[in-house]
Amino acid sequence: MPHSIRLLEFATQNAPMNMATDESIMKHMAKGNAPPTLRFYRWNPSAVSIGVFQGMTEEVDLDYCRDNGIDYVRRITGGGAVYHDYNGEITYSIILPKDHPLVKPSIIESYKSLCSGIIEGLANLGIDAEFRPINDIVVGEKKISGNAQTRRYSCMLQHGTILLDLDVETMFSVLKVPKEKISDKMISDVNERVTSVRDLLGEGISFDDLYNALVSGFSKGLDLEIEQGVLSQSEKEMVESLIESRYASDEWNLSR
Amino acid sequence: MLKSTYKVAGGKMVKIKLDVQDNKISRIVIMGDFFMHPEDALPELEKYLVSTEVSTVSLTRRIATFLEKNNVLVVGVTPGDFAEAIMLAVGFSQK
Repeated sequence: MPHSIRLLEFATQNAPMNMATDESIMKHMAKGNAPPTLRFYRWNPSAVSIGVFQGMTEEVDLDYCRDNGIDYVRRITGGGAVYHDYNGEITYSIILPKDHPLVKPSIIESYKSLCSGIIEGLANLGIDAEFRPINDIVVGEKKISGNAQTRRYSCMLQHGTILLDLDVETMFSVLKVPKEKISDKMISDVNERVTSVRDLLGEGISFDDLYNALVSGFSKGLDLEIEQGVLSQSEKEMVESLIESRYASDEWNLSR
Repeated sequence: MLKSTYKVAGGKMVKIKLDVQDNKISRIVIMGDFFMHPEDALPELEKYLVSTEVSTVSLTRRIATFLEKNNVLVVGVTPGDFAEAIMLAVGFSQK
């Protein structure tokens, strides 16, 4: 039998709001006040998110970010720094109670099963992608999606990105790579290791094309019955308070 | 403060900042792009390492004990990798 899930509107928000939305849903779900939830979103302004254990000033050129209007935020998940280009990616989050049938006890196995939604979504566009342990999705040898998972507040959160386009130069400017080292070779090396939907299918693919493919891919890959929904008033209020108390604060973002 | 950046076989990075007194860790910050579940375990591990003797064997053993005792899963980095990153910061890398 399909698993019922709330699908939130495809939203474009800033970095603190995107991260606060996930945590608000988790905290409500922990108390039985939010259903299993799937959301797709973009980042405006473009932003860099770092893993929970990373040092912000170690990884991110904050001066470049401030000068160029790029947000920066610490996630509650592990993994590395990610540049979220407003014009180049869709991010998703799936949040389930930890006793939900789709949540495998093994975190490693969970990655694989939840990533099947993305693989089906890309297949809808004619892209033959596969899971590469531990937490990546690749087309051939090239990465197209990275994913991260946490279990807290009696929930499982998995979020990740699907690349529509790739802006390697800005990515290297945001991340702390010595500027003199941003050579043509480095850029071509990334192009050897990373791909995007438009790389594979051409410029004609829109955000809506990718979004629609992903929604139907998650539905098929994870056997989900999608119900359009919105955040409750209480969830929205907690988003605002989490932005202030955590995701827009230096205390959290610069804590390491 | 001593610092190191250590690339683990497999691709993860571990970055260390630490202070040492009398060959024992007095303060340590462990950073990197690894996964640790539960995440709250990392600050606890940092506290647990204070007063540990700075040697590869002592550090590896103490980190492994902490992870096992607290049922912590680390993905992408072994206790030996953390120890090696710390030894690199104090200038005694074996690699």
